[in-house]
Amino acid sequence: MTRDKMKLSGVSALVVDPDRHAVSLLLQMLRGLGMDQPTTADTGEQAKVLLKSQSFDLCIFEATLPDMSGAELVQYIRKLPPPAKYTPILVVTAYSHVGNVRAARDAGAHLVVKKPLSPQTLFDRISWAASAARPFVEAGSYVGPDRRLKFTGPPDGVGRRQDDLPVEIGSATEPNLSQAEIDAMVRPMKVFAE
Amino acid sequence: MTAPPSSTIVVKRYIAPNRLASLVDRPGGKRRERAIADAHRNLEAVREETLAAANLLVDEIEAAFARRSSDYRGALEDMQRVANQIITIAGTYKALSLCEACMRLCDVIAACPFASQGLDPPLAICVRTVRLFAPGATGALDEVSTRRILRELRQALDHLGISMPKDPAID
Repeated sequence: MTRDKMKLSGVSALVVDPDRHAVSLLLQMLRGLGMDQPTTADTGEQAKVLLKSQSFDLCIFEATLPDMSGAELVQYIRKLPPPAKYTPILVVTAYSHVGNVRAARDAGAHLVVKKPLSPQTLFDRISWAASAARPFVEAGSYVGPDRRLKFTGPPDGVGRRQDDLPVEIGSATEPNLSQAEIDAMVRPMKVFAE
Repeated sequence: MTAPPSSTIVVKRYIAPNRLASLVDRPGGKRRERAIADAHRNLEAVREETLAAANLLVDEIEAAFARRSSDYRGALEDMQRVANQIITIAGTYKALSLCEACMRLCDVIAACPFASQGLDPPLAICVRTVRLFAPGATGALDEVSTRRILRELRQALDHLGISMPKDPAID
């Protein structure tokens, strides 16, 4: 969901990237979008220390950190007690192995975004990460946002979740309603009080 | 209530609290167009110093390439790290030829561990191409020459079977 406007002042963000040039450019963009001074860290360990003492509304991590991968840091956050575990996380990568990108996604990142980030992309991705309606999933080792962005029905027509509907709904047991009958059912009707 | 069998994965799916959502929707936000324009203005304010830094990073790539005979793995890691930094800067300021040259260099570095023979020649070509497109390079190239160089670089790497697959997971 892309918003027409966002208020980013007062949003506490954590940016973890060892590349000081990338951090500098990202901070310029975030300030332009309206965010106050975000907190920065160079390494995963520094980020963990900050995460223990503060709560953040948004995290932006580089996929490759000097002491751990961005995916490991995402997993660390997803194991924190609520509400920290629900923090929206964007993982950014300039040129990364496919494995690193998949690892970040599978660790529970909200989005994996390719560098260089443009202000447009950053605005839209933050807006999207702020979508309140996206469900969270805890399944085995995966904790993170539901990755099914489109509802295409259960895989292979076999539902595994409580709210999955079966593709096959069986044969009709009653005759089809006519259009007049359908209209009659949805037509506003007067209700008389007794 | 009976416990699920041990082989069953219990899936919990719920709407989690999202503080960011409530914060960004407060009244008084910045309109998208204005926020983006302000962000662009901030980026332009640091253009000169950032591109100058990119030039120094190209020096770092050449220095790492020069010491590959003594520390091959370390040199490749450094080259990849610095190339990533240049990609970020060059891409931000639409120095697309420099950006692509660095990406091709990363392609070659990524292929090195799997190569049956040394990839020194393509590495050297990529490093020289990066230098050609560096912001402070002498004798700026015209559009036609730039396109030709990049096309031939791509062809050379394709010939060697060096290219990273695109991943749909990346935005």
